[in-house]
Amino acid sequence: MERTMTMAPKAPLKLSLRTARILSVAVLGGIGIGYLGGAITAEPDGSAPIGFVFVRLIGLFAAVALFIEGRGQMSQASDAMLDERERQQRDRAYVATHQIMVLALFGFFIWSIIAKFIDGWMPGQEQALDLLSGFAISAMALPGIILAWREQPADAEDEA
Amino acid sequence: MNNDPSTLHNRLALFRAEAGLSRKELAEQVGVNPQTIGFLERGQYGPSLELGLKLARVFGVPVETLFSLEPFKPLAATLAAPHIMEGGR
Repeated sequence: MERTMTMAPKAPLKLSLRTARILSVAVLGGIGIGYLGGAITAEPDGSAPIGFVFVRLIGLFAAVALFIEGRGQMSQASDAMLDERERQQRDRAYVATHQIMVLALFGFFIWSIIAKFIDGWMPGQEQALDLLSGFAISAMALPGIILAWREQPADAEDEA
Repeated sequence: MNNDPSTLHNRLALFRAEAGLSRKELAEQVGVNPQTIGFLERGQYGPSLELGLKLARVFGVPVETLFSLEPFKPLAATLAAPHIMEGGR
């Protein structure tokens, strides 16, 4: 099968590699701390402390920026829009995302068993929904984050 | 071809420079992103058989002239070899 020409995805936002990596840290930190911390330290009525809600928002905005940015768009692009190296990178990013997400789910499953024996923390209904939201946002953003960290800086001839 | 770049060596940069092509021009001829040419030249990516053949076709050489599983000898040593042999006669 012959692929004649690739059509690079048109991203509505183009960020430098450094900015994309900073955003990716904001996503992981904001979502991780905001949702997990908020769930663990939730008020008796189930609501998260305002500080954690603010951290969540930072993570959420960073995730949206990464999602519409070039690397996020590359992770969503169809095969026809990428060349063989980009397809390989995208596929590897999805495999890594799957492994991380399964590991996180499995880790929580193990904790849910241990928590029964040691009377450890378990989320209530509100916190479980929060954690699920954080999990979904992380799954959405992770392929773009992995692409940003695996990307090699362009050399002078690439820019020419 | 093998996508593991550690086992594949190439002389793409040499042939491209000799042909006077930019990465962008070469990339357009073989239908890839110009950055992919950079990855190939730096040995960070091993191309598919299809891409390897397309690149060889651009330069009009057999694919094994462009790619090898063994490291290529330095160009200076390759060029000097016949002279050394002649001088030794």
